[in-house]
Amino acid sequence: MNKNDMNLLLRYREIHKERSTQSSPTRIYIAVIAVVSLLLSAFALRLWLDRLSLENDVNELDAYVNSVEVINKLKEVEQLKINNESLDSLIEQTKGINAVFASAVRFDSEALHVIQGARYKEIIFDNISYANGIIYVDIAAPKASDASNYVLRLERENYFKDVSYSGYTFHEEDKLYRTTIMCTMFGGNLE
Amino acid sequence: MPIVFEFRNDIVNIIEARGKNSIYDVKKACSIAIPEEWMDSQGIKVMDDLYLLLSSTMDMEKFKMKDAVICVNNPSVIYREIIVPNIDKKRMALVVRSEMMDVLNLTPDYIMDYIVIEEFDAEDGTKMSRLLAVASLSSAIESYIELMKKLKLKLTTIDTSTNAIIKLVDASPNLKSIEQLILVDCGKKHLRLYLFESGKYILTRNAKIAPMNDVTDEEAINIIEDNINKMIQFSFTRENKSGDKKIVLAGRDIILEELKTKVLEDLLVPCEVLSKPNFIYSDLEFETCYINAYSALLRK
Repeated sequence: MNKNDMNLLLRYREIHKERSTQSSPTRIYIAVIAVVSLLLSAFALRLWLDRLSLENDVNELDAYVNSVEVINKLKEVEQLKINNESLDSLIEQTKGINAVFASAVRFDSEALHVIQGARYKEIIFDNISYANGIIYVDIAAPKASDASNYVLRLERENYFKDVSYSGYTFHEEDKLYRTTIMCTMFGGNLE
Repeated sequence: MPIVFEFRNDIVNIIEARGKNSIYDVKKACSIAIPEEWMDSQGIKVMDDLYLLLSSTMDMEKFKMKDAVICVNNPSVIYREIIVPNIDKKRMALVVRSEMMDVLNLTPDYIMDYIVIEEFDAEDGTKMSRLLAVASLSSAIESYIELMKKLKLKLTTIDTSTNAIIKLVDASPNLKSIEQLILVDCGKKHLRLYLFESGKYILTRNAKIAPMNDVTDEEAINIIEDNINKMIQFSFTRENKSGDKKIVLAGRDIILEELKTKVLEDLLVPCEVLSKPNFIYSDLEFETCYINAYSALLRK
């Protein structure tokens, strides 16, 4: 059937409907861009909020670190460190001193017990003295060999570094041989 | 049932009609003169003033109906006869659009429509169609839509004056039967002459009655008679030049009788004032100035 009437209003509406349909891909692009922009904005907002929060934390920490109380405490800590270092040095020194003490010759009752333990009945002590790491034992004995025997016995104790004597003398008045035995002491722990 | 607005250069004609079985009972009719500067090829230029004028007049005249039809009878519509191969309706619209843009160098922001005037076989046997195509700027259509919105009317149709006259002739057996009909639509300053052959639209001729200044009715009648004579001369160039001719006058009713007498005396061609079409029923006195508005009521 032929078209035998006209209506510009209908044509106008048809064309605008077509144009709105044609523009739909553009609308989709715009929507996609809008969504992406929205997501980026949300992400940026989130980052900005995080940054604000971190800045707040940093400011709080700065305020805490720079507070007079903390600075005083830090100063105390520094002082304690210095003190610790001094103490460490002192400990080291003390250890050295102890080592020195440990290595030093010590004359005590144990040495006397060894000297006394090695003695047999003929040996008479006249005197025992100590000087410069050496115990001087003055003895008297009826026989000349007693002194050397006693020296041997002391050596066998392995308590002294060296045991020696320098001969003997005979004393007429009491018929006894006299000598001085020198017992050289070992050093301390350092030995 | 609609209110029909006919927008001419300097007048807006308004009618209100009820329709039943293709018979329209015209209840109200009025004409409002407007300055020519209010409308141009881009549509309504002075929207607020035109709205106020129309709304106040319609309130005063008590127009009640809410549907609206517009019949454009001014330079905002361009007409062109085109001949194209006979193709289906959907493609035809595209062809018409393309052809109009090509021939008239129109931009895409024109709204176009057409009617098929006749179909014929070309010399090579191809089926062809002769069309009357119209084009109007979108801005013009939008201005009419906006005006109707302001008037709170539901716009259903934007028709054109030539199409309205074609429907009038088609619906009027007494006009359709005339072998060569020259229908003259006289405005105050513009004149439109339509040539029909046995009811088939041939062409329209536009002329200005008063190109520069206002003219007296007598001068206007002379100018119109001169233009009718030119159209008669043209009709003699047609194939059925010997066919019966008749001139039918419409438009400014005040001068039509005098014009008729002058044409009858001077041009010796049967002439009459348009009688009330048979699709119009009204208690109102029939006035030919509303003929475009009446004819726009017809929908096919």
